[in-house]
Formats: sequence, structure tokens, C-alpha cells
Amino acid sequence: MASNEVSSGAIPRRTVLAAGLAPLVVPRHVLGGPGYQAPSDTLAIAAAGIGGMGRIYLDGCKAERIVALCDLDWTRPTTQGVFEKFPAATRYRDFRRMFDKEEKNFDAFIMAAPDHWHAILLMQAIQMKKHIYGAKPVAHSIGEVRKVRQALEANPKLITKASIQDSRTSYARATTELLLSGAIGPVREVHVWTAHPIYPCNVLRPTEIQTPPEGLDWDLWVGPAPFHPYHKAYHPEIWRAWWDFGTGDVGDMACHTLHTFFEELELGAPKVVYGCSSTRTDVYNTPVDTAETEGYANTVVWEFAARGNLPPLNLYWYDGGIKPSRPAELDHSVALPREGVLFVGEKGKLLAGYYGGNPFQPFGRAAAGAQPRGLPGGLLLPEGRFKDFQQPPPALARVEKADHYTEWIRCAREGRPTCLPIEFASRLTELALVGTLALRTRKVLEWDTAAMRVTNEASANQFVEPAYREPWKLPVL
Amino acid sequence: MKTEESSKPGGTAAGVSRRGMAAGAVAAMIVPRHVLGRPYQAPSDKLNIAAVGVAGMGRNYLAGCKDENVVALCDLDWERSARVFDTYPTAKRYRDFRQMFDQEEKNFDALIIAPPDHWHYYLLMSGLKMNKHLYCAKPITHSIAEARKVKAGVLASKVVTKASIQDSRTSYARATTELLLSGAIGAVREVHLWTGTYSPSGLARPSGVETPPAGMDWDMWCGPAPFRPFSRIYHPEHWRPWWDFGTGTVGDFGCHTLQMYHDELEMGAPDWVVGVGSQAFSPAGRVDNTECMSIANTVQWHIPARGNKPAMMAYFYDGGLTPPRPESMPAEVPMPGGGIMFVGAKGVQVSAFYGGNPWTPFGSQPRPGVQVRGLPGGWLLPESQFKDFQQPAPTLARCEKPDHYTEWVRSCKAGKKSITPIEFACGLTEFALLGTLALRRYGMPAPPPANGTGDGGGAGAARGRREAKVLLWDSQAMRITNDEAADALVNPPHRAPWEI
Repeated sequence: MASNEVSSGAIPRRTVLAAGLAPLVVPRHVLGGPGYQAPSDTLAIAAAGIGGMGRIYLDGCKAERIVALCDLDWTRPTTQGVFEKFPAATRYRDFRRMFDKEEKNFDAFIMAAPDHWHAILLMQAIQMKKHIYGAKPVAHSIGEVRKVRQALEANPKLITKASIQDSRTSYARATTELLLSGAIGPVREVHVWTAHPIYPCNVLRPTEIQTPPEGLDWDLWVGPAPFHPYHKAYHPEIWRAWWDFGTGDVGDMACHTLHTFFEELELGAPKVVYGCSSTRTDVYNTPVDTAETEGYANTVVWEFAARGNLPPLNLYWYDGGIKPSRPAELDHSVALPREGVLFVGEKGKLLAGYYGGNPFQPFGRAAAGAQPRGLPGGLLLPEGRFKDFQQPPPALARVEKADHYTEWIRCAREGRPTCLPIEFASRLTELALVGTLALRTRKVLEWDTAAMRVTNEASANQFVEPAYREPWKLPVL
Repeated sequence: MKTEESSKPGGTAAGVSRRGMAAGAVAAMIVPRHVLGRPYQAPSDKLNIAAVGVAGMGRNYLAGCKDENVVALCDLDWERSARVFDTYPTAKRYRDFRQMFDQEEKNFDALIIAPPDHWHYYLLMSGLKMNKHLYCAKPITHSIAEARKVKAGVLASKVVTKASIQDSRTSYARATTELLLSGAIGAVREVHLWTGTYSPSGLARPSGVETPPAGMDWDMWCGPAPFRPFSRIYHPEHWRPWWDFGTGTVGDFGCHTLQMYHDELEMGAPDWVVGVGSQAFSPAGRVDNTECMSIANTVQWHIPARGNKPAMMAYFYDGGLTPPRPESMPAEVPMPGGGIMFVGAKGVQVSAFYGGNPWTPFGSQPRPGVQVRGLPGGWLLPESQFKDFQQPAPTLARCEKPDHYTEWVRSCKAGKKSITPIEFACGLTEFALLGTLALRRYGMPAPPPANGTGDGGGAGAARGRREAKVLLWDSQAMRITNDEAADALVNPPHRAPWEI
């Protein structure tokens, strides 16, 4: 845990902002300072979905008592490794059985199943009044996301955190603080680009019959999603590109960058969204319709009307290696980083790391061979205009990456909110999922946030809250 | 051949004061080099034509010249070219163009060149040496240096040439040029071009052993390019995404759209270019496709200020990617699947990729239920600002698409320049090939970081990392000045014995 760096240096944020940015995120709590002593008791944790990212989450909580572990596929070496690492934990294949047997034995729940399972698992954990660490995106559909958010708001004593590991770190905060300094003026465009997806995309539904790994209940793996017979094209690991199970790269990765500017730029209610995806061509110029998966490269544009005194803004997403237009004023010796964010303001531009921080010092570390350039929060353009501009002193609360998991543990024990509750991540998730509507329909969509529906294209609304496959239901609280 | 529109009474009298309205935006018009459409009398003699590469696009080129005397046909793959041979039963058949040139040089006047891109240069130079009229597939060459040498060679010769840019100088393409020259949208700051991708792409070099079609000399097919073992992923048809043989979608399609505005917007000397492409993965991991174009690609060229024209960016998108919609585009209108978007200081012009209105490509009738917006040359935005704006009267010389091939034949016979001569297409080719070069450079993995730390995205994303390095282009010196690997692609060597 980093020290509480709420500064008395008082950057005059609001006044510098001209047409201004959103109200600042007010730190909801004072984080533990250097004088902090861990309580002697440990948290009892159960986890569902441990062979993928779940093993990383568990490793971050390994000082606690891991009492129960659940995964459908016990054949994966990763799953076996987790079982061996936590030998005292009872092992389950079916989360329902785990919850039946163990409900009284654990305080906190780690949720790391594929996206189509998130909402059901989260709602059950909320019903059982467990603290939750959950993988982003918060859920698979916008309807689910809102129900989870409502349930969490009704249960403020449950301490939750989302798996946005860079959020609230010094480097992420530095970018937010540089943005809030008003240096680049009111923001008109934000471009974000990631080097994911890193799994097969633009693929066709497999037709060959394959046998699931031994002991894997494939019907349960599919769960509330439309049923498709087992195939390695989905499991392990590579389900994200399939819209029935995953949410594409924008669902997977957008939360990892939105956290640095989503609230500050008031991005909760896009008006219009559209996108495009790479298409596949087979021999003899035959187009292959791979609409059941995302493309290897995808772009999304969300258009926002004026919000309060913030002018209209467009948010642009690029993935799969595609990047935004290179700013003419960027020094020729500088390549656009592989992943990044470019804020275009009325008075300048800010090039930042995708996860926050300086684009040439990802995660706050200097990249090998890269020349230091710009400020901790990013590179201001044109460089000449900003050569005397200083990084604002730290004003926002920090939680460093090394403390990401332990902060959740500590907050759960102390009964105070984390720096990154799932309610917050649900808002980022919703924006990302509105983007998936555009990619799935390939239309220009007008989005009514209050009504939670697309107003100009009925076909898009089937994806807003798809029905579950029988017998699965989202628990109602 | 259609009439010379500018000679029509009233052709310019409609008074589109182009230069004045263009407000410094648009280049000087192309002055028609010759008067087309004189009362034409067919000479009794026919043009004697030989062709190299007849089974692909060559088949169409020959069909366009079918009333002439097709004397010799050459193709490495006779399985595939059988039906073309059958169409011209009196033509002698060859596998090796050297043999054809030896035996037939005195028997033909004009040469049609339609093999894959990596062969164009050698054949063009051979044709020039024999003093033959030339019809050549675009892109004119595989490398920028080749394009410059061909241009010099063509300009120094008296032969009549034409490039396979079938839509160039048609009424619809001219309408787009004339609308741009009208100055309606003011000084052009951005040009966006987008089109689909037409072959399997994003592939690793095939590893299996395959047998070429019977009688096909595969080593000769590779010719001046690096040798690769035969695979049907290259031949027939699918060599274009493979950098050693083709020039990618940007090389394949660039000329087809640049013909309308490359000269008008003075796009001849970009000072930098950068390209990026999508990644590809199999269940086993990243596909190492350094030799093959990605399935989706973008290129960005920067063109510095020219005279009173401001600096301009050009963007290319393929494989399903489209440019961002301009703010003034009504939400109910889908972005066309391919097209051109000129962004000017005073408005936006959206046109079909090959010219004309986006909803009536190739001058066609709109499909049932499709609402046509805008003018014959394109759609001007914001609509409200241009609701009274009229398509300028036709002033540029036209050659309609059905006359594309016959215009070359006629020009050969008359000894006058065709309407789309190869030296013109060399300029377009060079611009497109700068894009090809940027995409090839992007495909070269950067060295892994020395300290082993990734910059995000996990181990999978860290492997095969690519760098969107900006490539500085010195057009006059014909050099990439800041990157040796990219500069080596400007004038790559030819495999022996195919050096010239």
C-alpha cells in the first residue's frame, strides 16, 4: 500500500479547465498509511474459475485462507498447479455444490469464470453476502451489468473489487492528474488502442466433434449461453472472441484503460456508437462471414453529446494492431506505442500509456532502449508548447499494483470500500458492451442510456440482455 | 471512345470557376494531352498482339482487344490458360516469354503484360527494348525504383502505353475529379481510401510440400523474386498478399482510386509514411506472417504543404476497416463498404472508390430501395450546406469503360498517347508502393526488449512485437532516410538471372 498521497499542493484543477472537466473523483476513503498493522485474522476465500486469470488473483491473496476452489476442468496444468498450491482447499467442479457445502466457511469470493458466467456467480455471491473480487468485464450483457450494480448498491457492506490491476496506481493517477490539469483544454477526442486480441478471431463455428477434457461437464461450462458442442476453439482460454461466451477484445480490455478518464470525462451515456471489424476472405475471393466472433482488428467509435460544460467528445477504440492517426506534431523519432491513449484537447494533445502513465514507461517502468520523454502522466503535444509544463503534484489517492489484491483483503476486513469497487467497473463495462452492440450488428446505433436500449435499430436490442438457456436464471435479489 | 466533353458548347460555359473556388485547394487540372473523339475510321490493318500471363486478368485484357490479331500467348500454367488458348486458336502458345520474344518479335506490335507484380518490370523493360506498344497491369511494378525506371523508359520511347486502370477517365471518375476541383469543400486536409481484401491473408509461409501444375516451371514463376517452394496459396490467383510477389491490397487497388486525384492534389512527394496491420493467431499461438500482408491494414501518408495547398494526410484502410464517420454524416446512412472521403476546410466529399457517387458505383443504376444522396461525383457534407450545390459541368476528357481497351488499340494505331499512359500510372504506383513498403516494414518484428520486461498485454502480446515506426521519405533522393530495413525495400535486388 502506498502512502496516502492526498496532497496539500492543491492544483487549481477546476479553474484551469476552461470549458472544464468532470467533477473529480473524490477518494472515498483514506487508505492505510505507513503505520498500518495487519489484523491477525485472515480472510476465508472461495474461488470459481481458477485455471485462467483466477490463479493470478489467488496468488495475490495467497496469505489468506483459501478454503474452496472450483473449476470445471481439472485437467489443465494451471488448475492442477492451483490445487497443489492450496492443498488445504476443498476442490469442486460444480460451483452450486461448493456454495451448498461451503457457504458458511468463507467470507470472500473470487470470481474468474468466462464472461457469460459472471452475472450468475456475482449475484449468488451477493445473495450469500460475500465480499467479492471479480474479473472484468463485470458481466456479459448490459442488462446483467445493471442488475449486478443495483444489487451491489443495495448491499453496501459487501466489499468488492474489480480486476483492473493498474487502476489507481501512481502511473494511472499521474495520467488522470495531467488530464485534470487542463493543459490540453477541453477534450474533444480520446483514442485508445490495444495490442490484443491475442487469440484466434475471424473464425467459423467449428463443426467437427471433439471430446471435452476428462471430467469436464461441458453443458455446465456453456451454462446460460447458447449451447454449442465442445471444441478446443472455445476452451481452454480462447473463448473471448466468441460473442456467445466472451465480449470480444473491447469487453476484455476497455476497462483497463477507461479507469484513468471515464469519470473525469463523464463517459457514462454515449449517444451514438458504431464500429467495424476485419473481415476474412477465403480462396477465390470468397468472403467468409465470421459474425459469431469478433475480428482480428476492430474499431469502435462512441459519440458523446455535450455533458454539462464539457463539449461533445468522440471516443475511438482500435485493437488487433490497428492504431489511430499519427499526430503530425509527434516527433518523427517517436513511434506510436503498441498500446496507448491519445487525448485530443482544444489546446493540445496528451499521449499516455494504455494502462496509464507515460507511454514510454509502461507500468511506471522505463522500457528498454526507450528514451524518457514527457511527464510521468504522458507526453504533451506539441512538445515545444509544453516544454516548461510540469507534472502536477499527486492529489488523488493511490494503490500501487503490488497492493492491488491485498487492498481488497484489507478493505474487506476493515469493512470499507476498495479503491475500485465493482459498481465502478460496471460503468466502464457498460460502455465497453455498448461497443460490442455496434460490432455485433455492424450498424450505426443510437443509444438511449436511461431506457437501456438502441432506439434506431431493433436488431441490436437482442444483445442488450439476451435470455438465458434453460434452466439458468439470474438470481433476483 | 466518347466525345471530348470540353469541346462541347457549354461544357465550360456553366462557369465553374474552378481555380477561384478551389481557394488554394486543388492542383492545376490535367490538361488533356490530345483531342480524343475525332471522327474515327478503323484502319484496315489490325494490331498484332502478344501477351504474357493470360489466365488471370490477362484474359480480360485480351477480351478487350479480341478484334485485333492476337498472334502469341505465353503462360507458365497451361492447365489454367487452356480456355484462353482455345479462344485464340491461331495464336502461338508459349510457356517461356524469352522463347516467345525470340520467335515472335517481328510478328507483333503490342505487348499485353499481366503476370504477377514481381514480373512486371522485367517484361516492361523487355517490351520497351523491342519497341512494342504496351498494355500493363497495375501496379506497374513491384518496387518504387522499378516504377521510376519504367517511367523514364516509357518517356524516352515513342511506344503507346496504357495501364489497366479500367475506370480511369470514365464519366463517373471524371465527375468525382470535377467535383473535387470545383473547390466546394475547400482546401483538402485529409483523403481517406478504403476497400476490401480479396485473398486469404494474415498467413504464415506454408510448410507442406505441393506439386505445381503439370508442365509449370515454378522456378521461373518466382523469377526475379526470392524462391519459395510451390504452394497453391500463391498460385493460382492468391499471390497478392505475399510481399515477395505481390504488393498487397494497397498496391493492388491504390492505382484504381488514385487516378482521380493524385495529380490534382499533388500527392507525388509524401515526406513520411507509416503502416500497421492486424495480428493473427492459431490455437497454438501467434501466426508469424512476416511474408504475408495482414487481413486488415491501414496506411497513413503525410504530404507536406505544396504551393498554396496545406499539408495533407492520406489514409488507406482495407480488410473491413473503414474511416471514422464525419460528424456531418447522418446516422441513418451506412458508411459505404468501400470509398473515398475527402475532408476539406469547408466540407467533406464522399465518393465511390473507383469514382462517382457512392450509391451508383461505376455509373450504375442504384439498387432497388437504395436512396442515392448527393451528386454524380460524390456526396457533399454537411448536406444542408450543399443542398443547392450542382455537379459541375463536364470539362475533362472522357473515355468510357467499354472503350478502355479499344482506346489503347486505337491510340497505338494512331501513334498518340493513350488517356491513361503508363508514366501516369507510375506516379500512382509509387504512392501506393510507399504504403506497401510501410506495411512490410511494420511486419518485421522489432528486437525483443533487452531487459525482458513487457510493455503490457502479457506474454502472448510481447512475442513478435511490431513497431509502427514512421518512415521518412526523401522523394527526390528516392530514399527512406531513417530506416535501413525499409530503405532496402525501395530498390530490392532481383534474383539471378533476372537482373537488368
